[in-house]
Amino acid sequence: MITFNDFTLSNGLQVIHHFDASSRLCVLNVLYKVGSKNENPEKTGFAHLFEHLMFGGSKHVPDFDTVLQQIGGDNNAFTSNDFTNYYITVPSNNIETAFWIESDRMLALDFNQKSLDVQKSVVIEEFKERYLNQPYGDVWLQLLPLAYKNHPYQWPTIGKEISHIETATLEDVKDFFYSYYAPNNAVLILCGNISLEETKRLSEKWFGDIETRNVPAYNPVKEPVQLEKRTKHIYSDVPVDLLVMAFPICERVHADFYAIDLLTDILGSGKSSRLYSRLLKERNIFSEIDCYHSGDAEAGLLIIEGKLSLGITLEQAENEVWIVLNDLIKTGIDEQELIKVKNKTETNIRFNDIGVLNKAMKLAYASYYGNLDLVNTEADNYLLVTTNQIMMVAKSYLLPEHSNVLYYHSKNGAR
Amino acid sequence: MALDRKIAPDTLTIEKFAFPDCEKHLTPSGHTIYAVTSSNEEAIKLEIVLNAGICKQNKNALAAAANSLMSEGTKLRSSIQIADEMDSFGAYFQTKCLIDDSTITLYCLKKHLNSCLSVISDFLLNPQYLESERLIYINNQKERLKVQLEKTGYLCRKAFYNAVFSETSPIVSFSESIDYDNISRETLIQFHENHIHKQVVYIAIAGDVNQEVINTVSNFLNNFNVSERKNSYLQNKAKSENVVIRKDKSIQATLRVGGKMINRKHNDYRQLQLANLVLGGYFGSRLMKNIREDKGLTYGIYSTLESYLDDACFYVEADVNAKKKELVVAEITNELNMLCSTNIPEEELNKAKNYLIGSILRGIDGPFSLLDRHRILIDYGFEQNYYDDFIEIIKSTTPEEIRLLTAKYFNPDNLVTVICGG
Repeated sequence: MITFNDFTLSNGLQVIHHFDASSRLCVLNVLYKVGSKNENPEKTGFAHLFEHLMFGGSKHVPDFDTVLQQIGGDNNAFTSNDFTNYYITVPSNNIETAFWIESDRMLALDFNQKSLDVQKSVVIEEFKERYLNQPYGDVWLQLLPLAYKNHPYQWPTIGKEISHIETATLEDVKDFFYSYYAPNNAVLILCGNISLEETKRLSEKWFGDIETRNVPAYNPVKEPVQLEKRTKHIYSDVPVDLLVMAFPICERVHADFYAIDLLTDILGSGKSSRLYSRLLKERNIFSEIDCYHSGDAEAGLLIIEGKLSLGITLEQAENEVWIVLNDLIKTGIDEQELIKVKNKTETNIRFNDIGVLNKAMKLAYASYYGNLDLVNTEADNYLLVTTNQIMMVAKSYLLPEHSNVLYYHSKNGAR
Repeated sequence: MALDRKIAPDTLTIEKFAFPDCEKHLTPSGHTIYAVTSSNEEAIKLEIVLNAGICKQNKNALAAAANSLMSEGTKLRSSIQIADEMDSFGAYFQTKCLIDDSTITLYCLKKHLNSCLSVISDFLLNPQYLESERLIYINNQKERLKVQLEKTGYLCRKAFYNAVFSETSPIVSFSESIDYDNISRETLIQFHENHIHKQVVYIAIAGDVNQEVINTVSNFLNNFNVSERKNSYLQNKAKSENVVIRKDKSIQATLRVGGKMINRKHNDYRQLQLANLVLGGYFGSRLMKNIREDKGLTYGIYSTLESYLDDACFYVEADVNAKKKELVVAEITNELNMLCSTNIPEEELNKAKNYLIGSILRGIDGPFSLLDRHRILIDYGFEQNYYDDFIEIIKSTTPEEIRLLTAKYFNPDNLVTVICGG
């Protein structure tokens, strides 16, 4: 159980507080409701590049990291399709410093060309390190445009291509900042050894005078219902064939979400899951296999991906996956199999509730999804899922005509 | 009154904090159970430490295979039954095979601990090492290895260890495809018999631990003897030549600059951790400031002290723009030479000290990370006051000491450079 209080400053900044007396640390987390889905399709990767620039100094704090390191603190950030999240961990008696530096970069960044030029290079190296210089590193670059035709989830957070990052200008940076980095587009979380009174006082003192900004309305694009299977063949200098199948699923707050989440566990989580036990262990079709969902706020993807065993063709492998999926769709699952994945989920949730940083992020996400109570009610939502619902979601989401399939051919794969 | 944002809030430096103790329970079997307790709703992490690490194997890939295949079938349970039973308890477990030991780590809720331990006990005592399971394992490992061999990071790491350690050191036991073929059922059974069967070094447990939990673990240990660790594999090796591995298509190069090092048992080690931090151990380090934040040549560059029970190494590592790899190597050498020859400014040293002490504080927040810190004390045989002394040692270190330490240990003339890719 995570107890929390929340209040909103007059400039629109939502503040959430959770007290944890057992910790000597305090986390200050700020989530901005802007992610790669808010980007201009011609300037992708910008939200993430911008996240890097947030460490390049602000109006009154020229060196963000140094200030924090001096007081024994640490910080980092990440960008997703939906939002950008910044977090600072400090010894709790130094929490005001975190308020100072975090509020200053919400007030005004120090926009400078040198920082932009350097971070463009850094992000290009990141692009290469994670997406281009690894075998199969470009899977997401290939899969997303296949699965999404209209929605901005069609490009990954790093961006569509390096040239988009290269062409970013200081003007773009300023526009983006004043459009999205606003108190009325953010949520602030204080979690740890800090009282509610102190949280109120310091939030008001440091964030209270930052002006409300005009945040552009986000109009979600609905992806049209997919009518036929889409495929793409990639011939690449990789050692082993890879099969990736992606199916559109519902939004994060949709009633089907919990059943879909459990369905991915039944299919691919752990050695007793269906895909692993049947296709890796019993039939030796795959040398690795996994099933998961993309975890996005809007309609995301359920993904099955596996590396093929020697001598198996991609066509064969795909057929074998369908045998497992159709079996589940036709005969469903028994109560024991459902209890198993529910128990695993319960363990996951309990472990995730430990540690000030985990709890801070959980509160941040719940705020983004528009329901803070989710931090405590999700466990029950999973418990309510029935075997029938699992079968229903399998039947309605795992359709051949909804599949987006990548055939990743190795140099020496079976033909 | 308007807020003056130029004025930083008052701060406190961390003077001292009590490093939380862990409980030690001696069992009738003669083992010690190390326990870190916190009341957190049923969650338990348990680690069973086995004397079955890579340093015990006489064939490449054997220790990892024997540890991994242990849970793929016993006289009572098939592989799938073991997985199904553990999953039914909502438990997660993994076997990890390291240089000095292997561990079975279990994450579960308290109510399922006893049931989970009986499954683990079964596979520790009665593994079957079935031929069918062995074949699946070796085929899949060989496929994984093919993918590893395409990565500049893997190739660079392998070449680096080969350059730094002698060929009989367990640290360089990288498996080749052929090694997997040489692992027969008999060698697996033999390894299990010699190093795993009925032998446990100790158990470490953290989370919602009470007397009942201790009793459960103690009962589990009744079937095992105490295993003493004597890990000795330290050998000297003359400095190797630099290594360059071509990989034409890669647009980045992975590089490592480093060498053999003193390990955690040495008196200089804690101060060397501070020196390493200054060089490349955190985001405010000299290498990060220079190579990433000034020149934008990499996504990240770090230096690392890697300690084993009987040996150690040090290296700077980064994935860099392939066209600029020589520049990066030259800059690493510059930074090393600067640290060896010039006292670092007090302010920079203080920042590193505060960051390091802060990271110790973060490392003991919460039962699971605190247990990891305690495991270091247990494994190296350090006293409980190790971390208290650590703070004192860090605080009293002078710029001159940092210079002398880096000159002694990080002299670039004694280090080897490995570049892979581009």
